[in-house]
Amino acid sequence: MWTRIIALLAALVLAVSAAVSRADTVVLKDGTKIEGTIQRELDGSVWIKTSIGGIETVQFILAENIDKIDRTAKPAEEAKPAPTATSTDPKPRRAGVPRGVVISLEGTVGIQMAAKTLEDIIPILEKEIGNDGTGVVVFKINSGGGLLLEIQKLSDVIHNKYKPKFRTVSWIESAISAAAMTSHCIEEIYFLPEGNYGACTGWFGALQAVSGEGLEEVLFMMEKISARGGYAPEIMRAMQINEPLSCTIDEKTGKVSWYQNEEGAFLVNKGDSILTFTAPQALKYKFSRGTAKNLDELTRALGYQEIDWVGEVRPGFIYPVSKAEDFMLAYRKKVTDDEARTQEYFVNYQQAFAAAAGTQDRDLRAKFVGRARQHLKRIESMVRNNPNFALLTWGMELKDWERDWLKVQEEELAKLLRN
Amino acid sequence: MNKTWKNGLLARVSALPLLCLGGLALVGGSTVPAEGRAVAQAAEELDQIIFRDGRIVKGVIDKETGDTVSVFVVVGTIRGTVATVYQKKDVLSIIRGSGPGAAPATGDTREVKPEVRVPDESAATSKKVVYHIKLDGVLGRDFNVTPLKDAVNAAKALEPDYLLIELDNLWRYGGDESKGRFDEFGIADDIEPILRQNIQSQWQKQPKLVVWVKNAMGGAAFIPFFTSNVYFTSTGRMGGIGDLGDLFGSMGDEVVRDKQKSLRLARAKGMAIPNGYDERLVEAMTWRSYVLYYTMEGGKPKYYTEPVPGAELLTDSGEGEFEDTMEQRVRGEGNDVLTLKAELAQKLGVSKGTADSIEDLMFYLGILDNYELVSDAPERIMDRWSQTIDRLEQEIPALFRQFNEINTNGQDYDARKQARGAQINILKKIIQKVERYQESLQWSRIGVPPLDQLRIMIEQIRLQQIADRP
Repeated sequence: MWTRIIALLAALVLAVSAAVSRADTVVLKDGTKIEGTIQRELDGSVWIKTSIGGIETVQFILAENIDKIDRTAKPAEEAKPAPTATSTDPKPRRAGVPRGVVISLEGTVGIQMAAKTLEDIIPILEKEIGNDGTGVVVFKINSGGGLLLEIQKLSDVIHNKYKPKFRTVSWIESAISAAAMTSHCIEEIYFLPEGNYGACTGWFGALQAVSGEGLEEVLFMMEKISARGGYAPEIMRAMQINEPLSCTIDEKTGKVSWYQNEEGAFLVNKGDSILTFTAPQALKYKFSRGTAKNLDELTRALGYQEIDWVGEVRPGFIYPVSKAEDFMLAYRKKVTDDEARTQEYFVNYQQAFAAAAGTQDRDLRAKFVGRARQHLKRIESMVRNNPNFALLTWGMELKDWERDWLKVQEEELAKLLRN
Repeated sequence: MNKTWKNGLLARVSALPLLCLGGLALVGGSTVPAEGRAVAQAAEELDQIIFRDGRIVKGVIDKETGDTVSVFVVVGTIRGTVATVYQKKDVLSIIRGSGPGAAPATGDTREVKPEVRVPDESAATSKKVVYHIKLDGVLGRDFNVTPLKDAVNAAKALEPDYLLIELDNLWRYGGDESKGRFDEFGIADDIEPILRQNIQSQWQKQPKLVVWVKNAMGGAAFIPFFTSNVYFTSTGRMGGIGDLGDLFGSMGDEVVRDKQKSLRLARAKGMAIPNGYDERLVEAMTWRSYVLYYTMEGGKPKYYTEPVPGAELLTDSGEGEFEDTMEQRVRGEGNDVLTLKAELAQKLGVSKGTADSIEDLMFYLGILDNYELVSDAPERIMDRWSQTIDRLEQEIPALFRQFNEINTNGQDYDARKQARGAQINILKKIIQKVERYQESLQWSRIGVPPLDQLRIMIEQIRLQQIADRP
C-alpha cells in the first residue's frame, strides 16, 4: 500500500517537475518576470500562457518591452507526442521555437537542381524538423536557370509535397530564368540584399527564342504556377516576354494592383525590356516579403525571435548544414562531376566495346568486356543519379533508356563473351 | 607574364616615425588628403587629439570652444591649410605639444578632462592590425578566387581590424574584346563571398573591409562595390566594364538578348546595392546608351536620366556625335560608359577620400600612429599563384611535347610497357596541374586537349597495354 502511495507521490513530483521544467520566463525591461509557456512569437513579441491559481490566461508582450527570454522547456524527445498521426518526431526542442533547415538550390535547373533530389530528401527533412507544418524549409536559391522541362516537376514537388509538410520559403541570392520559375510557386519569397529574380525568357541554341506553340505552353504553365504562389500573372509574363508592367500601391491597404501596361503609378518594366527584380525593387512592390542578409535577419523576417536552425556550422556556409543539405551537396558534387565527364564515360565505354568486338582472342576479349562493363556502370550510375542525363544524352525517358539502351548494351557485352 | 610591380617594402610595417615616412612620401610625389604646406616639426612637438575610439590625430590646434576643437592636421611633413573641426564629445583627451606651432590653451577653452593629459595607454598601444592584400596583374589570371581565398583565410587567425584590398589590375582597351569584359563580372561574383559573406558569417571579429583603388578596370571595377569603405589614389580609375547593351551584337532573337542583358544588369546592381551605392551608377558604368546626369544637393549627388538645370552630364548616349573617340576609349576617358576617377568618385560618394600612400590611407582610417601593416604573407600567397601560372604556361606544353615524343613502338614488351607507363604518368601530371589551377589557365596558351580528352587518352593507352600483353 505504502509502496503504491510513494510511487504515486513520486509520479506526481515528476509531473510537477516536468510542468516546471517546461516554463519559459520572459524578463521585462522593468525587471518584471513572467513565467509560463510561450505559445506564439511574432517579430520578437510573444504570447505567453500563464497560470495563477489554476486559471490560465494568455498575455501578449510587445518586443520593445522585453529584456530577455529564458527558455527552460524540455527538449523535443520529452515533449508530448504530436497530435497528428502522420507527424514524426522531432518536435521543437524548445516551446515556441520551430526548427528550420536551409537547403541550397544551385547550379543548372534540371542538372544540379532536380525534382528527384528534392523528393529524395523529404524523409531526411521529416526526421530533422518533423512534418506537421511547424518546421521551416528555406530554399536558398542561387542559379542562372536551366532546363524548361524540369520546372513543372520542381513546382509539383514543392507545391504538393513540401508545402503540406513544411513552412516552405525561398531565400533568393540569384534566381534567374528556370530558377525563378521554380521558386514562383512559393508564397513566401525573401531576398538577400544582393538578390535578383527574373529573366525567364525561354531560349535555345544561339540565343533563339522559344516561340509559337512552345511559348504559349510555357506562358500558360507559368500562369498556373503564379496562381500557386499567389502572384499576379502579369509579373511573370513581363519576365518572359517583352511586355510592360506597372503597378499601383493602395496607400491605405498597401495592396498592389498590377497592370500589363504602363498605366499604373509605378513603371516596373518597359515594354522593350525583360524584367529582373533586384532586392529593393522586389520589396518596394511587395513581391518579396523581406530582405535578409543572414539567418538572424531571416528569422525575424519570418516572424520569429528564434528558430532552431538544424545542422552543423561549416566554413564557407552562412547557415548550418543539415543532413538533408549534406545530401544535396553530395548529390550536386556527383552530378557536376558526371556532367563534366559524360563524354569521357561514353567514349571510354565505346572504345572498350570496340576493342572487345575487334579481337578474336577469347581471354583478351573478356578483359576488354570487363573494362567496358566498368564504364557502363559509371554511365548507369550517372543516369540513375539524375535521369535527365538520359534525356539530354540519348533523348530518352529513364524507362525507355533502361529498356532500349542499357539492356541492349548489357546483352551485347554478354554476347561478346559467349562468342 | 609578370605583374608590373611588386610590393616588397611594406611588409609588416609598424607605424614608423612620421618624419621618416613623410620624407619618403614627398620624394614619391605623394599628395595628402587636403592640400597642404610642408612643416618640419617633430611628432612630440605637435598637439594630439585622442579620441574615445583610440584614434589619435596630430597637428596644431587652431582654436577651441566648449564643444569643438579645430586642428590643422599634420600628416608626415604636410600641414593642412584648412583646420578640421572635431566634436569634443568624441574626444578623450588633448595633449598639447611643445613646439612653436603648438597652441597654448586659450582663455575660452574648457579643458576636456585636465586629469587625463596622459593618453590612454590601451588606446595608444593596442595597434590596429591592417591585413593588406594587393590584387595586381590580370584579373582571372594573376589574381583569382583560390589565391584570394587562401590569403583571406590566412588572415583569420590574426583577427585583423582592417582587411585592406589594394586593387591595381592590368587593363587595356581591347576593341571588340572589351565588349566581353562584362562577363569578367563572373570572377568578381565568385570573389564576393570570400570578402563579404564568409567573413560576416565565419569570423568572430569582423574586420572593416577597405578597398584602395589604383586601377579597378574591367571586371575588377565591381570589387570596390563590396564595401562602402573605398579610397582612390589620385590617379585611381574604376570602370572600363564595356557595353552590356551591345554585348551580344545582333546574335539570335532580340527578346533573348534582352533577357541576357537584364539578368546581367540585375546581378551587377545586386553587387552594389547592399553597400548603399545607387544602382543608376552601375547602369551608367555598364550601358553605353544610358544617359545620366547629376546635381549636388546638400553635399550628396542626385541623379537624373533627363537633363535638368544645373545638372552635370555623367554619361551621354554614345551615339553619333556623342560617341567616344578611339583615343578616349583607349585611355578609358570617354563618357559613353562611366569610368570613375578620384575626384568624381569622391564627389559621388563612391570614394571616401584620395590617398596616395598607405600613410594617407591610415590617416583616413584614423589609425595613422596606431597600426600594424601585415602584407608579407598575403603577398607571398598572391605572388606564388601568379608565378605558378607563369611557370605552368611553359611547363604544361613542355610536358605534352614530352608525352608526344615518347616512343611506344619499342622492340620488346617491357620497353613498350615502360613507355606507356611514362605516357600515363605525364598525362596524370598534366591533369593534376590543370585541375588545381584551371581557373587561371587559358587553354589557348597551354595548348593541350581538355581534361576529359586527356582522361580518354589514358584509357586508350591502357587498352593498348591490355592488347599488347603477351
